[in-house]
Amino acid sequence: MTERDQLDRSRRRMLLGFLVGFGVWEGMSIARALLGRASLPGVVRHGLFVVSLVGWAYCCVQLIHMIRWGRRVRRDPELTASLNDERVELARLKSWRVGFFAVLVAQAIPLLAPIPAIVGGRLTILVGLTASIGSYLAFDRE
Amino acid sequence: MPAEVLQNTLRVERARRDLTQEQLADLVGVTRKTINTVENGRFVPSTLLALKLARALQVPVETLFFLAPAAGTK
Repeated sequence: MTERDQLDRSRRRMLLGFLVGFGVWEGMSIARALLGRASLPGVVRHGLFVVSLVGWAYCCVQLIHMIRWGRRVRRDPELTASLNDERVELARLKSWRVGFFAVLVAQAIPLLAPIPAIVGGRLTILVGLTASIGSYLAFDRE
Repeated sequence: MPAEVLQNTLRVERARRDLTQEQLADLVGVTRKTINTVENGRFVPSTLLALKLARALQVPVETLFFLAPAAGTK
């Protein structure tokens, strides 16, 4: 396998890892914020916090990998161009569009359910990010 | 106007020149996945990429890409 394909594959892995980490982190935080209002047993609350923390840590690890990946790729303009070829650009554009509409839909959730503003904000970020990265991974499939 | 779809002979021409998808990707400066998706008809390349592919395979672009009637149309 060429270096280009290895980097392409590792980009996919990093994005998937980031998606999972971010989903767990924010998902658990939102669950804590929503369920916290009810009288939850301490074990459950702490459990959600620990899972959320693990998600955050995993997310951070993936971010560090992404920064290192970016530095490695930027050193070679030819590699940068081929890793961002027109198919990748198209997948990126389409996934941004999916993310945009997902955010619009997420904005309607607080209108339908009475949730705190901070939870609404976090939900918007979670939905937008998950939809755009998830759809990118789907469009980028062979 | 009858419906038409873009088809290609990329896989055939690549095999004729004994090139792997990776080698062809290297020649035109894209990822192997892009070559694979073009071959499978999942991705329609731009004119620029089509010309690059034709040049790399040393065939006219019309040999590589052509319009064919869509399935179910006469």
